[in-house]
Order: sequence, then structure tokens, then C-alpha cells
Amino acid sequence: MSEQLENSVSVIKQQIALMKKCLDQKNRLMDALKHCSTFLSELRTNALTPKQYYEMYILVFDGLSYLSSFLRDTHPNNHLADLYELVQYAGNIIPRLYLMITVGTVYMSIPNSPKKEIMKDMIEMCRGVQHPVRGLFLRYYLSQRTKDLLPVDDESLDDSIKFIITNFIEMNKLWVRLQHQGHSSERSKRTKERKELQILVGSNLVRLSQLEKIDKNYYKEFILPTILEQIVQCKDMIAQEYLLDVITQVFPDEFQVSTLEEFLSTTLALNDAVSLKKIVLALINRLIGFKQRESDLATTSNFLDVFIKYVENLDSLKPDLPLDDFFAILEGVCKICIIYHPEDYQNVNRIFQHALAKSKEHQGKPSDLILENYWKLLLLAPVLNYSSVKSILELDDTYFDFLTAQKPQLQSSVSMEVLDRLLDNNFKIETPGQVNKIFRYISTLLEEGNPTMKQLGLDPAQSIEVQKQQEKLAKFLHLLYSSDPFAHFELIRLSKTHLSKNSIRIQSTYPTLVSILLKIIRKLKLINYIDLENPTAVLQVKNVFRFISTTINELYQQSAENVPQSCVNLNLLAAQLANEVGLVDIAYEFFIESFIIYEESIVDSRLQYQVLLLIISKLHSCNNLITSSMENYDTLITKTALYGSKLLKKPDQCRAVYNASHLWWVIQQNEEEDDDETEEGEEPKPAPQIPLKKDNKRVLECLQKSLRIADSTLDTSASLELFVEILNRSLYYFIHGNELVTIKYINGLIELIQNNFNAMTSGNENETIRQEFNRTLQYIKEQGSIDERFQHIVLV
Amino acid sequence: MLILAIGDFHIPERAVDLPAKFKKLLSPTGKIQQVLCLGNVSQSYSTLEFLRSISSDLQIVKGEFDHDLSLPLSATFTYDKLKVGIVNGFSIIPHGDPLSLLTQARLMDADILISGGTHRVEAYTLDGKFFINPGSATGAFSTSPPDNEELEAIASILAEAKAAITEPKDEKPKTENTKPDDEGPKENADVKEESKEPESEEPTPVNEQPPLPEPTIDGEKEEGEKPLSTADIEDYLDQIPSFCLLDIQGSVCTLYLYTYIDGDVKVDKVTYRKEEY
Amino acid sequence: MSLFFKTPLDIEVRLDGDDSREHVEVKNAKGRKEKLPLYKDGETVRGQVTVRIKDNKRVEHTGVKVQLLGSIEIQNDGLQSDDFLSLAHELASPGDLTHPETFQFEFRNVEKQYESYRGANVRLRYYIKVTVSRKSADVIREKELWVHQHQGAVEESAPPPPSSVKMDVGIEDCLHIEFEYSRNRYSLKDVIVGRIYFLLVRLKIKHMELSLIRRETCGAPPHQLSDSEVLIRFEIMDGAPVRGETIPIRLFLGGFDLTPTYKDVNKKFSTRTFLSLVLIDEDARRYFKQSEIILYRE
Repeated sequence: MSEQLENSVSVIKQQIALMKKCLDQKNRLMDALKHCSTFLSELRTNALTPKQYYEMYILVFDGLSYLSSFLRDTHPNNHLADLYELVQYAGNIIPRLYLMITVGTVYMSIPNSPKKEIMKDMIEMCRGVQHPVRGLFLRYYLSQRTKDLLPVDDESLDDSIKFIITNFIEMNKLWVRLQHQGHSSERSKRTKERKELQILVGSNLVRLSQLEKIDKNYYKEFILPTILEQIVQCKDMIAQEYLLDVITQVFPDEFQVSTLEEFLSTTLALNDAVSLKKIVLALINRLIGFKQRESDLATTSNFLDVFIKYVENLDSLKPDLPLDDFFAILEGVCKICIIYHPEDYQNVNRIFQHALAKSKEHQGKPSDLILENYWKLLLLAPVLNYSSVKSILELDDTYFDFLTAQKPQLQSSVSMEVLDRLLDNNFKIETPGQVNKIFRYISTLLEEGNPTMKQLGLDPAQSIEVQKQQEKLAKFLHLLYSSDPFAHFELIRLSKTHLSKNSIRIQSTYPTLVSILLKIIRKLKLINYIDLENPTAVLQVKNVFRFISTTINELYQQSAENVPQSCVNLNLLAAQLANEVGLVDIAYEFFIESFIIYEESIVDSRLQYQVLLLIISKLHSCNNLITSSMENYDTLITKTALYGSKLLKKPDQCRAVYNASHLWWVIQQNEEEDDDETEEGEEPKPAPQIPLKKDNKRVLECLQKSLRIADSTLDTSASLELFVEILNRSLYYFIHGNELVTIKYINGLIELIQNNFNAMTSGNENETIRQEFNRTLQYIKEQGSIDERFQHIVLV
Repeated sequence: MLILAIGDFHIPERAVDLPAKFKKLLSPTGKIQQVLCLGNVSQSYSTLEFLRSISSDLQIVKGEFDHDLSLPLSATFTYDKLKVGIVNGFSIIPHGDPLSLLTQARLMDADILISGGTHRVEAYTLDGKFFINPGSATGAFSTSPPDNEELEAIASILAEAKAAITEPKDEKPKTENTKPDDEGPKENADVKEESKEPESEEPTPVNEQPPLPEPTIDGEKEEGEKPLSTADIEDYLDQIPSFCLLDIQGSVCTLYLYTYIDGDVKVDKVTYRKEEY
Repeated sequence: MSLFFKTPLDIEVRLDGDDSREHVEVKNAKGRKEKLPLYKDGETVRGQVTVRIKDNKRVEHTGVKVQLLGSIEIQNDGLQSDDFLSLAHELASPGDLTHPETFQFEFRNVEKQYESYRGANVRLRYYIKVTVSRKSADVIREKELWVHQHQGAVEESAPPPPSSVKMDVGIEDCLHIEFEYSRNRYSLKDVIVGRIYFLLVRLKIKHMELSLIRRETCGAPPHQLSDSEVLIRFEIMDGAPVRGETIPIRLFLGGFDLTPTYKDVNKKFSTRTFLSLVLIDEDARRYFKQSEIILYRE
């Protein structure tokens, strides 16, 4: 607190105390008024900032409130009319007027007082204070004190309205004048001070809006025009921006709607420095809020016409309006059109027509990121604001013309928003027309990568931005849907023709297409449509598989790094589904496809191993292939085992081979008779088993082969580790009853491992393997209590 | 120590996203110290971002659809007195086989083995070890055939739908399969009056979807041009979205299984205590 | 001078109905307030004079008289006093005073032509003077009255008041205002109402005041003596107005101690009142415009 303020505050507090003391005694009103006048004199200061002055004002207000209620309570001991005259002898105008208002308002509060005259007198006399800050506070005081006293009966309402308006006009003048006070170097300080004071001016409009019984027509015919006239006349930017905003905020929604034309035409008469954008958008947001608050609100289309005409006339009436602002306003108008009359697509089309024309003004000029952002927002207006996503699909060419006129990057971000909106709403796209329309929205995402990235030598497909785009595009494909699986298939087929336009990008979308198609096949299976006896159905389903195969092959033609792995995976999935529906030949074909890709294109040895495991896993699950096409199955598993033995690294070879052993040992768990559900946390009971393939010999051969590979491994630790794994694998078969995996065989293995350990010098790594081995032995020991066969295994 | 086990996202190939309620549950609070991801995630940039937001300590094992070869196939972590192993599941042969998993756990010296790949959430103990499959966080479609339970569920849905369609023309209305609906008898009364109307025009009280083709189990061919529809089974095609939280204290692991069923999140709790010798 | 001598007797002057009569509070030369009984023109002045001897000593006198005097005293290189009214009654013939004696007196329907006035250099006073004549020093006792002259709203000599007085005031290219007030004649209980209209403002005005100045003039040229006294300072504007602004004026006169306008009091002096509009700029320069207003007592 400044010293100055501190002094004033202490004087005021002291004088208020003295005043109260006098008021509490008999016949000392005059002395009380003198103290009052003394503390009011503090308000004459020039030395404080508006904020400090406000602090002081608050204190003074409280002091005067005390006086005010005293006078009200002691009426009629104090003849208020006389007192009203008496206080006017005060030599200084500030104390005089504060006292006048204090007494005058008490006078107004008593029945049958000449309210109208008092109001008129007070407001007239306030003209004597021309100092902006002091005048604003004085008039604010007038406004605060009269707040609940203004008469609103039919006869007086008009006077009360005019009273407030007059006060508003005068306050605004003072407020505007403040800007021109002092040295021009303090301009920004003035601006800051004015903003601090703005609420005092705005409070008049708030008060006006709080008056009951104001008629909409009267508002339209008199109140608003008077206020607007003042706002226009003051020519002040801050005042115009602020006050128009206040009008927009404080008066009822219905009033705003009915005075749209008046308001908008006023905006064309403002100081050029005023941001039309701010004002118009505030109004639009208010009206949008109105619609959202009252959803069944009915307005005529004419109402939107006012807005559209307004933007169409902006060109000629406000030729200097920055393009940024123009487009911001256009976006707002677009938004309100959509929210009020979403079905009236013509409005939106008109807006985009105008946008396209207007954006041509910028042609040939350097890129302007801010402006482009407004274009983006405008393009997003329909995307984000239609309550029904479906409406987005109703826009016509004007929208797309404007969209395609934009830079690719901007188009992409619009595309992304479209996709987001669709995804957020889980909007199902059910007709080819809709599919085509949406691909118009997102066409940029399918185009060649960003040229600048290419120039920089970056692979556009690898950039994070592109990855995100393509991921979203792929997610979007899940929205294509029809409850009719074949219609669904057609939608997917159609989307593929769009996606295929940019072959570089298909690697991120085709896998999704394949997954969706596989799911369609699963559905056909589940509704029991796939009947192998029904040639039509089989043909139809084969068609889908054919299409899947084509899709995978097209993808395979792409020479990108991860494409072969994806294609192997997709072929395996297709094979799995084909097996499930009983089309075993097709399953076989897909396996063959994946083998071809494995041979041709999977080059990394780590990946080769992993792919092989997957192949083993998938083959192992192909029950129908095994039962009805054993020959083909045998071809496939033999090939697989061979691949395993050809892997580069010995440990990989070894593991692939012992895992491949399962291909000759396929036991179907028959759950059907397992009524007693396994409780969580309990050990599962052995289920009835149906052996689909049980070739003890080949299993053993595999184990033996893997043992040989392990043995030939030069790294003794690695070799030992593999032995332990083979021992474990052998135990699996021992438990499952492979007759060739005997106790003797297992004992042999254990001995082998033990010998190897003995032959080695101990090392840390060996310790880990030793523990693995010990755990295995421990397991065997424990199994002995469940399965007595285990008791015959010799534990070293 | 709170650990999230989650995996098999398959975004965007098979799923658009996790259920929103999961995302909300897993919004970053700092409570989860480590995320163990079971793979099939790395193709989705947005999902990786999401996982990293849960905890900066994100551990991923490679799934068959992950392209990043630098990811390990398995990993182990020790928390207090428990050792946890994670593995995607595609390398477990036979797929999901408990005995193979047990072998894997034994070799890894894991007390708890978390594996994925099957898209089916489960937890059980076997030979004193705790086996957890957090399922698929997105409930991604699984190319493994549905199990019997799933098939039965779908069969009963189809039967119900069929009953709804065939009921009006049934001379002896079946009541055991229809809901005790007040409108039932009334509809029947109406039908009797208008029994000459073609069947396809009949209003269906329970199901507003176009009628399904008659299942061809009994060998009869469905005549007519009724469109196929999969609307009834649509909700049952994908797996149940799920993930797990492990709260490990000393030698005790409290497991919370989160599943998303019919729009709601369900939580089951299982406690595992390592037997100490 | 008599104060320095112990007088042999006390004279008391009592006016009839003194208790109920209206009194006027005026400041005396020492600035102290005193209350004086108020009389009107033509009103009878009536009362008793009581003379008391002190210490029971007989006092011989050559007659006792009572006078009602009206005089104008001018302080101008010495006091110059002129009686414009002098009435006298003999209360007692020469003789001895041996005990207190009371005499009734009455001046019937005295014309009191002028108002009482106490100014800077001029005093116009009415008083009762009781003189006990003696061979040695006379014993004198005075008692002052206060007289108000009530004039009708319209003085025959004055032209009918205009509905308002308007003045254009200005400094070329700096300031141009219109100064308007209701009329140029006001009763002492009136209120001056008016307005200032700013046509051109290039000064940085800080305040605007209205003041009332009383100018008292006495003597004849070249020895004329004038004195101006600011009676009221009344701020009517705070801050700087802009062109087109109108500032209201309202000044209640009733609460102030004003003197009616007397253009010529017995060819001795005059009192006039001027309404002065003062503008004070930021550098504390004062710009003013004066114009006379006629005040009268209703």
C-alpha cells in the first residue's frame, strides 16, 4: 500500500469512527456530517491509481452506508428534504455530491417522496465532476445507491431506464476521456487503468438488464439504439470492444436474437482498430449457448440469413478487415448455422463458396500460418459442430473445393479431425456413397508423402506424424460396417480401391483390411452360413479368401522393411480361419504362401526363428487340416521342421526342432465333457483328450535331432542350457504318454547333463544353468508324488 | 508395488482403441510403478504413448506382430520375494498349453508367469506357480477358434433370435424361450387375425433387425432373398477387453483382473502366496 | 474613556419584549459574536431605562435623556461618524438621584431608512443612547439595535428582471464558455441556479469555482475607499471538461451572511455583491469572470 493510500485510509477510518460516535448521540447530526465531509474529502485526491482509489472507495462506501441507514431509521426526525438542501452547502463538490446522493437516496426510499425529481437532480448535478476517475466512482456510487430504489411501475419505468442510460453515457464519456489524459508516453498505463475501471461502466448495463419488466420491443426500439449510439459515437476502441461484449453477455437471449440486425450493423460503424472478430464471435457464442440451453428453440432461417448477409457484405463495408478476422467470423457464422439449422446445408455451402472466393485474395502472397489456421478452423467447423456425424456427409462440392485448395498438411489435419470425429462417435459407415464421400475428406492422407520431407531425405512413411495419420486411417476402416456380411465385404473392397491409390501407404492399412475380412469370415461361420455342402456359400466365402490373398500379395509387392513379416503373419491368420471354416485346401494355400515369403524375404535370423515358432503354433492348431488333409499337413510340417534345422544359429535350430516335435503330437482337448469348470487358482484337471496326430517316433526323432544340434554347439554353456530345455521338453512328452520317451531316455538325458556339468569348470553362467537343471530335478522329484512313474527317474 | 500387466492390443489392425473406461482407470496417477506389456502393440504409436503415460518404466516383450526385433521374447523382474516372468505367448508351443507354460516358468525360475497371445484373461496356480494371462486390453478379435463356451453362448443367442422370428407362425407358442413379455399374447392375437399376411411382413416383437437366415443345421435350405445379418452376434465376436494389476508385497501377489463386460468394468481379485520352504 | 473611571451610577436599558424578539447574531470588531435585537423599518422602539446609584451616594445631574440614533461610521484616516437619525426624549429634569429610578421611553414608528451594516471600513448602526448629564463627566449608556430593511421582490427603480442572464466569456483560442444563470436579482434566501456551457476548452482546467464577493465602497473620489471580501467559495466543477459539456450551478444563499445591495447609503457608502466564476488550471492560474448580482432582503 502506498503511503498516500495508507494516510487516506487512516483518515477515513478515523473520521468514520467519529461520525458513528456523533450519530449515536442526540442532536449531533451536523457534527456527524462534518466528519463525513472530512472523510469524503479524501476522495478528492489525485495521487492514487484507480485500484487504490477503489480501496478507498470501498471504505467510504461502508461509512456512507452507516449514515444512510441512520438517516433511514431516524426519519422523520431529520427532514430529508431540508437535509438534502443542507448538504449542498458543502464547498467542495466531491463531498457535496456524495452526501447529496446519500441523503437523496434515503429520501427516495420513503413513501411519497418525489423520486423522479430526486433522480433527475442527482444525475444532473453529477455533471460537475468531470475528472474521469473521480467522476466514474461518483457515478458508480449513484448507481449502487439507487440500485433497489428505481421505480419500475408503468409510469416510472421509463424514467428509471433513462436514468441508468444517462449515467451509462456519462460514465462512458469519462472513461473514454481517461485515455487522453496525461502524457502520451503513459498510453499503455492508461490502457491498463481503463481496463481496471471498465467494470464500473459496464455495471450500468448490468443494472439495466436487471430491471424487471423491460419489454423486448422497447429494448429494440429505444434502449439498445441509445446505447449503441453512444458506443459508436465515443469512437474508442477499448470501450467499443468491451461494451459490445457486455451487451452480448447481459441481456437476455431473446433480446439478442431480436436485435441481431441492429447489433451487427453497429459493428460496421466501429473504430477500425476494434476487433470485429471478438465482438461478432462473442455474440455468436452467446446465441449458440442459447440454442444449447434451449434445444427446442425455434428460430426462423431468416435469422441465419442475417449472419450470412453480414459476412457477404463485410467485403464492401469493411474492406480493411484483416483476412484472419474475416475467416474467424466466417467460422463462427458457419458454426451457428450448423447449430441452429443443421438440416439447412445450403447455408454452409454458401459460406464455403464465399470462403473460397475470399481466400483467392491471398493467392500469390507468402504463406501465413495464422491465416491458414483460420482456414483450418473454418474447415473443421462442420466436422466438429454437426451434432450428427452423418451431416458431415451432406456437404457439397463447395466444401471440397475449399478443402482441396489448401496445403496438403492443412488438408491432412482436417482429415484427421474428420476421422477423430467419426471414431469418437463410433459412426458406422454403411453405404458405398458414404465411403466415397469420406474418402474425399481424407484424400490427402492417401497421397504421396509430404514433399518437404522428401527433400530433407526423410522417409515420409516413417515420420511420426505420418505413422499417426496412417494408424488413424486404419482405425477408421473399422467403421465401415454392414450387418450383412457380404455388403460389409463390398464396403471393404471399395475402401481398398481408394487405399490402393498410394501404394506406399498400404502397409499400414492393408493388414487392417485383412483382419476385418477374417472377422467377416468368422461371422459367416458363426451364423452357420458356411456349409460345405452349399456350393454358393462356399464360392462366396472362397471369394473373400481370394480377395484376402490378393490384398496380401499386393502388400507383399511393397518393398518396405516390415512388409514380409506382416504378410507371413496375415497369411497364417488367413490359414487359421480357413481351417476353422473347414476350407482346408485354402488353409494349405495360405500356409504355402507364408512359406514362400519365409523363403524369399525373411532374412534376419532372429525373425526367421520367431516366424517359424509362429508357423509351428498355427499349424499345430489346424485341426481340420490334420483330420481331412493329412497329406498336405504332413508336407507342411516336414517343411517346417526342415526350415528349423536350417536356421543360422545352433540354439535357434535346436529350439525350433524340439518345438516342431509338437507338430507330430496334436492332442485336441475336448472340453465338452468337462462340466466341472476349473476354478481359478486350482490346478486344472486333466481333460479328455482326442489325439489328432500322435506320432511317437517322429517326436522322438525331433528330440534326438535337437539333442544332436545341442551337442554340436561349440559354446558349452549354450549347449548345456539346450540340454536342460530338451530334458524339460522330454518330460512334457513323458507326462503325455509318448511311449518312446521312456524313463531310460530321461535318465540318459540327466546323466548326460550331469556329465557335462562335471566336465566344466564352474562359472557364473553355468551356475544359472545348474539351477535350471536343479529346478527340473526338483520338479521330477515332486511329480513322483502324483505320478509314480517319476519315481523311477534317477536323480543324481 | 503396483504393476500393470497388459497386452495384445492389435491397434489398429483389429481394434480401434481400449475401452474409454479402461483409459480413464489407467489415466496417469503415478501409482503404477511399472508396466509390463505383453506385446502386439508396437505398430501403434498412440498406444505406446498411452503406455508410457502410465509409467515411465515400460517393459515390453515382443509379440508376433511387433516389428521391433530389439524387443526381448521374454524378461524377468524381481519384486521383493517374487520373481515375475513375462512372455508374449506365441513362442509357447503348444499355444497356451499349461504344461508348456509351466516348463517356461521353471526355466525362467519365475514364481509368476505372465503370458498373453490367447486374448483370454485367466489366472491360476499350477505346481505352486502363478500363471496370469491379462488377455487383450482392447478385446481384439482372436483368430484362434472360439472355445466351446463361446460357441454355446453364440448358439443360444442365435436360437433366441430364431425363436423370436419363428414364434408368430408357431401354432403352439413356445413360452420357455421368450421373455415373459406382456405384449407376447397380444401380438399372437393380432397375428391370428392377420395370419394370411406373408411371413416377411410380420412385426417381430423382440427383434427389430431383418430376420436371420434359417440355420441350415437340419439340412433345409433357406429359400427367399432374406439378407444375411450378423447383427445379433456382433457383440460376441471380439474377446472381452481385460488387463491385470499386480500388487506385490513380500511373497504375496494380489492380482486384480479387470474386465470390460457390457459397458461396465468388472474387477476380480485373486491372491497368490508363494510357498516358502 | 469612561471605562477608566469608576462611574457613580449604573444605567440599564431594557427593550420591551426583548425575550421574544428575534435576535441577529453578528460579529463585533473583535470577532466575537453578539446577539442584537432585530427591528424593522417603522417599528416602534420602546423600553425602560433604569438608573441606579452606587454605594448609596447621591448623584446630582443636569438632566437624563434617551436618544435613538442612526449613524454611519467610516474608518478612513480616523473615524468619521454621521448621524442620519437622531431622536431624543427628556427622561428627567436636572435633579438629584438618591435611589434607583426607572423611566419608560418610546420612539413611535421610527423610520429606519437603512439596514444595519458592519463592514470592513463602514459601520451603519442604530442604538439607544441614554445620557445622564452632569457637571463633570456625563454618564452614557448605549444599546445597539439591528435593523433589517425588507424590500419587495421588485424595486421600483430596477428594470424588470430578465428570465436569465447569459454571458459569453472566453480567451481567444483557449477557452470559450457560456455562463448562464437564472437572473441578476436574488433575495438573500434565494438559490442561484445556472449552468456553464463549454464551447471551447484548450486549457487544462482543474477546478471551477463560484464565489460571491462583497464590495464595500465609501467616501467620495479621490478619497474613495473600497474593500472586497470573498464571502463564499463554492466548487462547482472538479476536473477538466471537454467541449460540449454543461456544468450545472446551484448555490443556496440562505445559509450565508450576505448583505443586500445598497447602491448609495446616505451618500456615504455602497455595498454590492459580485458573482465570480473562477477557473483554475493545472498550473494554478486563475481565470475569472465577475458580474454583479443584486441582493435584496425579502
